[in-house]
Amino acid sequence: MQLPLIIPLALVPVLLAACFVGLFWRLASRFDAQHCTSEWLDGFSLDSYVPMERLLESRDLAFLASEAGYRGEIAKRLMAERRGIFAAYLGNLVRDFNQLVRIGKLMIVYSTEDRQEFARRLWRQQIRFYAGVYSLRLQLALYPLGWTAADPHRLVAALAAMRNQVQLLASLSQTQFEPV
Amino acid sequence: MLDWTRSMHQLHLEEQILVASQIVVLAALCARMWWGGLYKIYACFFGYLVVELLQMLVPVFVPLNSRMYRDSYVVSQALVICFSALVVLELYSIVLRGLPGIGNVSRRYIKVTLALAILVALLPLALEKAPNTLTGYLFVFQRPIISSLVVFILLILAFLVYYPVPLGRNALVYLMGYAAYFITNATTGLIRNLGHYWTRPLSDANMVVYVVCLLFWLLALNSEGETRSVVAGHQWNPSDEGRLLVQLEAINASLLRSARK
Repeated sequence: MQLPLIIPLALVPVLLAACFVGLFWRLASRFDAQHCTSEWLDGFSLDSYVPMERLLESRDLAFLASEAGYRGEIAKRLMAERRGIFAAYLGNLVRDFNQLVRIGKLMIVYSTEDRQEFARRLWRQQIRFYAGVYSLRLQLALYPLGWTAADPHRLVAALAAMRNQVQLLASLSQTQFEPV
Repeated sequence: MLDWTRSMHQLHLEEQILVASQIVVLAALCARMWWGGLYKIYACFFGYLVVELLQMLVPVFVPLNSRMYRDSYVVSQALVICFSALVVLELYSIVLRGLPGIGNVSRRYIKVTLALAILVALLPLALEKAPNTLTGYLFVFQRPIISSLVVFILLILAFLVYYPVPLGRNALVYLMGYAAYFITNATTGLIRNLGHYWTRPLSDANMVVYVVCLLFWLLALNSEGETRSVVAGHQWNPSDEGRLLVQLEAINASLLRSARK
């Protein structure tokens, strides 16, 4: 057997084995359903993300620049702090979205009726949301270079859409869950 | 998984040890499945083990250098391959039974994954040598089937990672054993079909992994493992499932309350 062929051949089982180990690990550490509680839902509100929407607005910078004693470093420091706060909000947003997705998945799995349509919408919304998160993180990273278009409205709207989807599923299910 | 092309002559010492170990562990596993009642749940897997055991016992009664041994090996190996495919499909149906909420989703998923698995498995076929013996043909057919099963199991796992389907410990143990064994089998099959080199070490490696998998199944499989867990890796207690249903109903009520606001 020729040497160039041996290397890809050796890589195939190694990659496959790595995929299996990764998936088994993910399977063993799947989310704990005990953490999906109605108390969490009662405390969940989209209003907590309202401040996030105006954290990186340029209006505040314009106001700051119009004040006496303004120096460039002040604006720089302020925006660096705000970027940190924005990133923390973004982390919470992702966490809340994931929690809603988990609740949605649990409701699908334990539903007594077929929820194919809901499962499909859930999948699409997840893809769209994560694409939005990565895009926003990129924009946030580019912010110091002058990119000021970081807009979280779409992500907050995606979170609201996910909550509405789960609510819709709840109204369809009307406490119809069964042990599997 | 004895390589017939060499067993025509004489088994080497390590092969004799491995064959003897396989026979002992296979027989023990069959007995354990029978006494534990698991053969009813995993009928295809049990059939697979029985066929494997019979195949391993053939050299005891038939001379290794005879034509009869070759023919019986080819027939039994073809049966083993068929059972391997049935075992994986059986496992998939067991894991996803009684889940009407994702019934259609899983059916669609199985169609797509099967097509994808077969496509991926057929890709290296162009590189493989054209067979000129009966066993050569068998190996050429065997490699894509086992490879497609590896990909299929991988995609089943991805599905189980995505949806919180309650899994029993036995199902996980089966999946782990199959994954390890089929990866080794597919890789050694591919190497053999590409050039027929390293036949003895490849055959030995295959047998060692198989004996380890059999031992793993023998030690880990039991009737208690059929109890479904709520979430793998966390709870293994069936009473947790009732608690989860109450929890889901509370979530429902909470969602409906917030929708009315």
